[in-house]
Amino acid sequence: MSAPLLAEDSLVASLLAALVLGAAFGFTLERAGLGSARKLIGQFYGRDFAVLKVMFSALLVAMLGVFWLGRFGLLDLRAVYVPPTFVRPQLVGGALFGAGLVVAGLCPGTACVAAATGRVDGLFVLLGLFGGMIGAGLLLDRFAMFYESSAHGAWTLPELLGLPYGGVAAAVVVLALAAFAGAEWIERRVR
Amino acid sequence: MSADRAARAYADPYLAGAGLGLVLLAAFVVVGRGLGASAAFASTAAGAVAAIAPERAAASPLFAHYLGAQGPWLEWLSFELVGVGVGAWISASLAGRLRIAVERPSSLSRRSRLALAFGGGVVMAVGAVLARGCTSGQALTGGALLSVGAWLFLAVAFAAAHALAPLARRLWT
Amino acid sequence: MKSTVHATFALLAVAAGMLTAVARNPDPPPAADETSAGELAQWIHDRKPGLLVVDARPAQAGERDRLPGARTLSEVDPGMLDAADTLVVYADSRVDGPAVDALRARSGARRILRLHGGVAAWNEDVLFPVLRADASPRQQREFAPRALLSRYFGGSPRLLDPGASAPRGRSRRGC
Repeated sequence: MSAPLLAEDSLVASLLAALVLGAAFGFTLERAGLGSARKLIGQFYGRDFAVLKVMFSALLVAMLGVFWLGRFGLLDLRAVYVPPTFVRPQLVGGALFGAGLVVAGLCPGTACVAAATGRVDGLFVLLGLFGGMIGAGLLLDRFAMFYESSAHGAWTLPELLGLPYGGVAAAVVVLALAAFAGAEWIERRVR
Repeated sequence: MSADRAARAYADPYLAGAGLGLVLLAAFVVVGRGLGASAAFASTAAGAVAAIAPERAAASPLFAHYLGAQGPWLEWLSFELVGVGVGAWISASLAGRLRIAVERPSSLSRRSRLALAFGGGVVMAVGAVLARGCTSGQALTGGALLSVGAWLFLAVAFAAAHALAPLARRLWT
Repeated sequence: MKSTVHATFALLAVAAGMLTAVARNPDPPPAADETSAGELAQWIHDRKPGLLVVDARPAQAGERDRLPGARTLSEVDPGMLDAADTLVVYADSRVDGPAVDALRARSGARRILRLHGGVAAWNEDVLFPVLRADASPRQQREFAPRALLSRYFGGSPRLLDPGASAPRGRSRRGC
């Protein structure tokens, strides 16, 4: 299998790739208007479903791309980093994150986009994130047990459900398309 | 200056999303990992604390993780976020969307908006620490890889945001 | 115009989704002339008649990791080759073409198969199969035959501590 292309220890090449990939990431987010807190927040008030459309379109393309590159032997899935699962911390963390998001109007990535394009509110989200990280880091040892609890490592939905990977991926496609249809319908009504 | 001008030509979200998906796929192929954001802040925070109080930093389960291997200042995601800024700047320049402004509803003062932005950022940081990621790292990247925790995070974060939105309406209208 | 693009995307997504569901597995499927480690293990266990396993690794590999009942390229004589019905060739991971072709020329075997994944796959799938500690009862039941086969060949099934199953290959990572 030829990919992943860069070896674990090629730091310079890897960081260079980070810059380039990040630039493409930031470019597409700004193109879609997700550097604007007011546009982004429209998602949660049923006005503007750009967040859902961008996220799920990206998710679909990458998910199917990974599957088929793997299937053709072009990508070694075993060498791709899967973010670990910690069930309870992720449930609590997710709730907190969502709460912070609806108040700030920007997430960490889109806050960078906003700040880079001159939005001072984006800059303040970045400052808040930095401050929050310092606080959380300093206080985390008191919650170390909870932080490390319900660890499942790299755990995929096919493994959890005992279903074939392709089947789960197809279900995600259906879910995403249904969400898109729902979003279009609501947006048409609001207009 | 806060109000949005008349219709800007943002790209079609499905198209932009597909493009983003290709970028994410490229990341998997080139470096064997996906995109992210929150760890860049954690790493930078770790470096900052380590510079001032190294024992406190080493004692933190969060900071210690970023103080090993190549150190907190060569974190992959930090470089990625610098790239994000550059790419965003380029896109906004091309589209004539570069503007110093505080995005806020007309009902809210600049000071209040900035305070809320800061506060929201603090809460998101705590959430991202517990969840080991944010919308880019967990929801998007983990989601594309069908990670269980990523989908849990995605569902709960969006549910929480939607649930809280009515209460936060004053902040946005 | 926009709705045409959207409709095209949706159709592509549906088609891709259906193909993906049918394909099931994101790993490259074994080729027509390959057999999997699991299948070979079952053949050896069942003493499949006319089965000949050939070790096509270089001489310095020696006895290490040799599959049960396998013969090296130098050991194989015309008598064995004529008696063989199903010939399975293996190497460390992939068997290279020339070795297989040489055997095909010498042998009258009906089927010559390569072992998909080689010794690496044998060790990973047959000798030391892994069960996640957070596996469901159904998954544990499905694992039982693999565990039995593993012990039969002198290996041992492994129980994976789920919390430790994280970094697949890469060291420090975060999101």
